[in-house]
Amino acid sequence: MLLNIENLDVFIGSTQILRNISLGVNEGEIVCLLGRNGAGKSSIIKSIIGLYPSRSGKITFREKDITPLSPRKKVLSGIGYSPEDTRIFTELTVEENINLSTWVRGKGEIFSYEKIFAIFPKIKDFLDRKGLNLSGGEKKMVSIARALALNPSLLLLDEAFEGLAPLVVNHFMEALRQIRKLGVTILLGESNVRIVSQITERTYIIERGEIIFEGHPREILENERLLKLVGK
Amino acid sequence: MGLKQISKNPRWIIYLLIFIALLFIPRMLSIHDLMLFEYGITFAIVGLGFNLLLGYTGLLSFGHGAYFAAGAYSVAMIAKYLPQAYSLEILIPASLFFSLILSIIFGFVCVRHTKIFFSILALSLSMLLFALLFKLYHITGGSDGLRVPLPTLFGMSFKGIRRPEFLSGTYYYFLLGVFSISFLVMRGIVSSPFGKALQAIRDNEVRAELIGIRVRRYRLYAFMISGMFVGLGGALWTFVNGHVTADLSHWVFSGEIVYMTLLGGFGIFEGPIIGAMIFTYLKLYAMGNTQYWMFVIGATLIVLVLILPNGVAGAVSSLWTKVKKKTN
Repeated sequence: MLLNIENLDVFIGSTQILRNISLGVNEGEIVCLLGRNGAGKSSIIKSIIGLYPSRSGKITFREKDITPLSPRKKVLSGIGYSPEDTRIFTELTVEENINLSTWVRGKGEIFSYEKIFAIFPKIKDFLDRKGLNLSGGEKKMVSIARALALNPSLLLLDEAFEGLAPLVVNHFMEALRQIRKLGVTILLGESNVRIVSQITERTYIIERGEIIFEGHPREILENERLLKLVGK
Repeated sequence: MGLKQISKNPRWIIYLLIFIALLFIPRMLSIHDLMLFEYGITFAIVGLGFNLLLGYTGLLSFGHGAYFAAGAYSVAMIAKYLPQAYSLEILIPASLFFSLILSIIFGFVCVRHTKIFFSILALSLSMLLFALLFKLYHITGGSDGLRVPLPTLFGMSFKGIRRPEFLSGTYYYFLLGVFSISFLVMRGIVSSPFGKALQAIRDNEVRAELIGIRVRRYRLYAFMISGMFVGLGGALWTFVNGHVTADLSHWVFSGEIVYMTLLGGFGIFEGPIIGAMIFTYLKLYAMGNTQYWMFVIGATLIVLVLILPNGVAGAVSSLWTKVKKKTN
């Protein structure tokens, strides 16, 4: 198993935001964390990357315990992260945003521009544009490309489809399939079950900081109670 | 950027034209005005260094007078205790070395924090140095400070020459040379991946860490480079001023460094250079014309923050962008 989480409890101050989370992601999979806004999807992803420290539980990546590692060390160990709000460096150009990751990586293997252009051909057209002047969809592309530039084996995507036009959503779904074909495993946080059902084989439903379901997204679409729970 | 690209870039052509014009400045200005101009150049080097921290890394230091003092006192102390080594080619590396050492020590403490905590720590540490310089009278000259004689340059002695003559001849071209090199080096730094990493840290340090950047370490590197540039400015300033005092490490002087950077505009590379030049003249003419010169400086700062938040260079730049848009 590429990523394994066992009995993870996370608190912010005295409030428990994740309860006894256990999940696993196999190499080559696209796995989805599905749930309504505020259910805890982003919190799980942030806990994996190290932005929310855990109070108890264990996170292993490639059989190694990465629970106490800093976000930087987790990223350099092969976990890419594209956050919900993209957080592109606005004063840098798209090319500089992507190059920064490869420069930081130094001697390590990098994800080539050819691969990035194969996934997001449009990026070629605005390489020299500043992050400030990008649309929402373009920012998401750059955010994913920047995470890929560090050559991760696991990519954490938080709300990658949020706010995108239906046509762009289709492009993004295709892009994720291509990323998987290139050998990158994906853990996706998403609130739209229709999208999830088209690209993933395994889905976890999160509700109030707990995992309440694990299975194929088709099972969710066929289950009225679960559909009601995820809000679609 | 290759030479071909540089030659096609109008910015570099303007730089070259300004450099050529600067070569003729000693023929155009009176000795008094030239000295003022030289003060401006030394502060321009200070501004370049200070802006690496403020404009590119997002850290506001109220203690950069300390590194200026480190550079200035390196020169003055060598003059007093090691007169045989009192030569420009030794003094400049020595001032760089001592300001680097000081910025490593102070920076190590400061970069663990950001925002107001960083500013206050930087201010406190500089005041610590001020207290030392002020109290260690027998070593530093205390409130009297130390006199700075004219140095030698590659064995060339300036004995018998008066300071204004020295400043209007060899020293001006030496200063211009050091400024030009500092300018090119800083330009290289901010355009390098390291400079981009600093800008990423300034924009969002959590995101910067999430693409693998060692945030605290890079902040320290920026602090060290910034300290060295400010120290270099301090060392070059001593020959123009002829005298150093503990006040250089006082927070009021650090405030002047902040002021000149804001005046020029910290969002633009050339901003602090313009700010340093304007500040030098503004301060002198305000001091020369009224005893309430601090009121003038303060009022200018208020106007600046309210009307020109991006400084003089920022205002010119946005005006230029508007004109370009209209003509297109």
